[in-house]
Amino acid sequence: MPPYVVKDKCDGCKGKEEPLCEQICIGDLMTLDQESGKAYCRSLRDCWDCMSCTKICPKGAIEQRIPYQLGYHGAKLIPMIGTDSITWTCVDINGKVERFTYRTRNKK
Amino acid sequence: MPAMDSDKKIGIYLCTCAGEIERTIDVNLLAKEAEGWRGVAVARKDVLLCSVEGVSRIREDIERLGLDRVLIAACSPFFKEEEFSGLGVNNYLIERVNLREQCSRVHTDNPEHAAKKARVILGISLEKVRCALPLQALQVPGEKSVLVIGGGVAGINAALDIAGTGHEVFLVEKSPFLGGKVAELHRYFPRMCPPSCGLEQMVLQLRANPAIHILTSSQVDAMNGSPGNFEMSVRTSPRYVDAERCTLCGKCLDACPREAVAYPESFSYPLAPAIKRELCADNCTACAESCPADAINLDEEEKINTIKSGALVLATGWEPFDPTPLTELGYGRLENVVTGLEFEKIAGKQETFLRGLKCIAFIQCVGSRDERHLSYCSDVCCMVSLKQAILLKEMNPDSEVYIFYNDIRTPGEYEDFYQKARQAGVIFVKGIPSELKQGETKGISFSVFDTTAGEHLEVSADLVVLATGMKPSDGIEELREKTGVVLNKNNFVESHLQCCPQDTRRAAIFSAGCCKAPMDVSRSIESAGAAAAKALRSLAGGIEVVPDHSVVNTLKCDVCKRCIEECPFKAYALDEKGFPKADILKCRRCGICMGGCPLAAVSLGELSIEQLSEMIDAIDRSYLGEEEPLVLGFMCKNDAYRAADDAGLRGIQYPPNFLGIMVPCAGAVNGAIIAKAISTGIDGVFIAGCPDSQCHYVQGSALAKTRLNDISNKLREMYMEPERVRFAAVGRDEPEKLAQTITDYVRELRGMGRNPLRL
Amino acid sequence: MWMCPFNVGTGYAVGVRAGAEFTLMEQRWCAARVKDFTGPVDTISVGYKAKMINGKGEMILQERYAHLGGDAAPRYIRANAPMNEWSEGRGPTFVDTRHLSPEQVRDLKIDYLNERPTYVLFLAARGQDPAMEPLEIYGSDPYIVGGHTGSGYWVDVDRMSTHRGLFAAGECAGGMPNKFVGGCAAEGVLAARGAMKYIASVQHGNIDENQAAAEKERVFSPLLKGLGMEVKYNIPAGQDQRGQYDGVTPEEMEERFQRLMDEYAAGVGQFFKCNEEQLNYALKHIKMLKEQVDRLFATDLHELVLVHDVIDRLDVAEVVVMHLRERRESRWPGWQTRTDYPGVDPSLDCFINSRKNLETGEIEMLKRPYEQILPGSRTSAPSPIPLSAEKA
Repeated sequence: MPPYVVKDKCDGCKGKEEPLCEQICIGDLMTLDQESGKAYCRSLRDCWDCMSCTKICPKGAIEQRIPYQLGYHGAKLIPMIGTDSITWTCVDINGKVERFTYRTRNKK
Repeated sequence: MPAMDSDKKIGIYLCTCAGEIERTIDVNLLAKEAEGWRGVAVARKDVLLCSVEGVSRIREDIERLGLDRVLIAACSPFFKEEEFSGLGVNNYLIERVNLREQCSRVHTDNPEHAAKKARVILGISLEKVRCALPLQALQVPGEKSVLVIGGGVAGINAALDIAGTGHEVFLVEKSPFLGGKVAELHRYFPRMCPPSCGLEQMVLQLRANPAIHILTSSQVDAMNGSPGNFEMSVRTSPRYVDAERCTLCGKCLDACPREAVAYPESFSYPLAPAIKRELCADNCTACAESCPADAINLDEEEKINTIKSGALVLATGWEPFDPTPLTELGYGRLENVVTGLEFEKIAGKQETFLRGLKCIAFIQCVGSRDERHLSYCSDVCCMVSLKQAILLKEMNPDSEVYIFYNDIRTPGEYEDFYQKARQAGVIFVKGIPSELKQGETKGISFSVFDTTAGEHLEVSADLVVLATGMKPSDGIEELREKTGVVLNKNNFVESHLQCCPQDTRRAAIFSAGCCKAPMDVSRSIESAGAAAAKALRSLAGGIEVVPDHSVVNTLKCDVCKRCIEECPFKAYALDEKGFPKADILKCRRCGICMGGCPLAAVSLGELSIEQLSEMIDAIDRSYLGEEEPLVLGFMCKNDAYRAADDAGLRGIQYPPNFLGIMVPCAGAVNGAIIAKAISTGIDGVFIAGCPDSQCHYVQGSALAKTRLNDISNKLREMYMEPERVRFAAVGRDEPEKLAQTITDYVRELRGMGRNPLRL
Repeated sequence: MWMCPFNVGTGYAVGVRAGAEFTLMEQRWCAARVKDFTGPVDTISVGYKAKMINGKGEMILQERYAHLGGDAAPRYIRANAPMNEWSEGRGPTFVDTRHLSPEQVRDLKIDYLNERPTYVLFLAARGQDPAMEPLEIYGSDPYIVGGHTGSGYWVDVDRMSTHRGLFAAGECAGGMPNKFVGGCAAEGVLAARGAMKYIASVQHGNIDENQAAAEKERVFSPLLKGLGMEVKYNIPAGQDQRGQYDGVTPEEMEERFQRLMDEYAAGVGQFFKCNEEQLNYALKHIKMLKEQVDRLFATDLHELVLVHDVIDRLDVAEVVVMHLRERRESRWPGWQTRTDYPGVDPSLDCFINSRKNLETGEIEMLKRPYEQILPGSRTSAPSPIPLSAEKA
């Protein structure tokens, strides 16, 4: 169920009004829970899993998941963003690990 | 991008350092190869670049070939700095390559690899200089005046020292009179002279210097502007008395039914009363009516002035600790239990009473060195009690004077003062009293366990003096809010650098006297002199500053405000478009903002994200072959990089698998740069910074550790070894530690195997 | 999902409500997509030459659509083909990637990581290796998108709609299918120029304060109704935790509406097929839903957006169904399949347009003739325009 916020890692973007995931989510789905000070997705069903929040989180606190309607539990897709590069690590449900690293066209 | 002829304007100069570097690395060969690199117009070796001939050869090249960027591959950038500046190109387009301290000297036992590494570090520096910015110093006009907050002995002396050099000073004092706590003292230690004498001298000097503007009954309302151009809003409450007309006849004091007239002492300044209007009875105008000189105007209004100044000196002084919470000591509960400061007043006004006392007890460390109250030692209380005890003995040699103490602290030659007290017959008991009670007849009784004698002592005293500790003035929190200075855990104004005690972590704001720490009058005056000197240095009537401060790329910035939050010097504010912007004068160029930005949107003028990214691309992942791991180390300029240079000077060897990049602070390394390094196949990345408590920029090392931790966690999730990134604390004087760290890390990485990623 | 689910047709809806003219809203874009995940599949089928096959391993396009071009058949055929296989019992349908080399599989995944990264996660979550198993495909839900098909505002050469001063570009602008990203970008420039030209020609207008106030009220009234309630999302059916306001949540209305459209307005669940009776049924219920719009409520700003999403969807859907009904033929089967009019009617070789009558509130249909502007064949792609001979 996309996206999953790992509470230990999330720091609520240091308590600013809008954490980065909230600023970037095009569906207005990510927001800060006032009580815990951590981010969460307010409607998992509406998420389009574009992964913008996953990529922008400075603490790497968001894990992307596939809705159970579509795929089984336990697979992972982890982006590591460099200045003009991105490295994806994909782990399937059988534990097979694949890594893809290539240049992006972002201006450094 | 294909090389275009117009690109070729970089000159590369490789030094043999009078033959030394050449013994390990064939610089001639390196020069020949570098000639073919993109954008390089000339690459050659020189026997000794820093010599007069060497420098002039570079200068000739620059003119003849129209070079606009230069690489000097020689000794450490911290050596021969003057020789390699002003060559004829902008200084920021000259890049020093550390071929000696961090290559030839540390790899003499492995010349083949040293040469390969030399090629790589030359390539890295080439990319850095290729994107360097030609920064030009800017002239920022600055105010020449200084504003001093606090008119006690520290503030007065700071004002005198500053005005003595011809600069204008504004001395702002909250109360109606100058002098602070010193004006309330009866005697100074150790000479037992009256403070009024000293204060009179100071006031004479203040009045004599027209450059000093004194504002009493005044407070700073708000601070605006920026270092060198502060705009202070100062609110002056009405005195209601015109000091110029007042003849000091004293009639207003007599006429007042409510003790609302604050009357000056003979040495006070201004020498005129002030009316405490809040204490007056409704519609009472007795004082005004009584004044023969028509000097009282009860309709006077407050004034608000905006004062421009180039620097500030904070001298807001101290408050005594209130011993009421220490109920066992009876302050407020029993008669004749007074504080040390109150004793001064009594000594001045009630000498007869003191002479008649038979037994006086001083209790030390009241509030101080106490976890529940003031955890620190208040420095002066031992000397104060000795002074007061000696005074009592002089008044009445037959009186019994006790000092109950934990330790007597009289450093340096103050030891003589302690001896004087002993000789005068003061009785010292090492033990702190239990509960003070009302005596049966009169007086105060208590018992003490004398730890030296090993016995209980029963005491009955006519007067008990509590040597209370010193706290910063009540207004310190407000001052912090208005000026942004940082207070330590005891609320004193903090400088984070031991070697710059007058600093306050805010540019152009300095501190003096007891607002920094408890201290006696002499030290306060010294402290004021130091602050004055610092303040004057920070002016110059025009500030030249190079725009190498941090710059936010507003096309990338998402205003998450992490930079504003993490800057240790609060140099950031939001600009008119709502983007964070660093003040060019407040910014300390540490790069902590650059390191923390989640979008890598912040760069320093002298080191940008783009440069670091290109530098990493220049690293040939296989320069030592396919099997040997590579370590990239970001080293902080103040500590780790210097330690690396030191290793070079001492010839301490470590593997050539290590490539070092200098950064202003450990906190300046951005996660995206590390991610890129790992993605290009670098096997291990470490950030070497100052040990935590020593970081020049307060929290750079601590932040670097947190960020590296996050990256380690991510690597673990990616089923890569989390140890491929780490932090190393390396002090300035720890070159062996650095070398060992590198050696151990390379060995560890050999065991892990090479990084599977390859961009 | 491939098309952004937060695009609900508001660009069209504002025009519908203002009485602007629309064209070809029946020409829906129904794509072949990877099944369930609904990510793009042309990357695979075209880029890696993976043929479309059915459950029996037959190469569908070559077998059954050779007369329409086989693998080069028009796009509405490519969407329809898998649907026909399924409905005739020869499913599932796939693109055959089993011939790809390991490098090609890696490149394929990198392409997806750039375009739609979670497709790689999707495959990982099913333990699927494209080199071992073919990738499943299916038709997508229908989209109304003027960048692919011709649906949208009826605009002139300057891209101004029939509503003076209202310009449309990109997916909003109709009459020009196959624009895709580049065409939309170009159209943006054209519309900007058109708008500037128009602004220069008119006097400054004044804002009608009453109109603005009325719109503000329309926008915020669902929130004002719901304020003070606790925020609740995704309330499971049957559980009433809603506090005092007794109304309809946007999720409830959207769920009902989407099902209505799927079943009665030629949704993917009906293999893109419909008839007159189904369309009339859809129209009737759309009207009833619209009558209940004033019962929608929101408890915070996020829900308020969801309320307006569903309101805008209803406005656009009404127009779409009217168009589907009016085109009584199956010119583009798959995009618009009328089971009661299966062939192509030559008299309908024209634009079918609509306009809301602002007095009656009814959608009125009209036809505009097709005029050929560029010479050449209407059924095959034109040859590329040669670049200038003086190339650098």
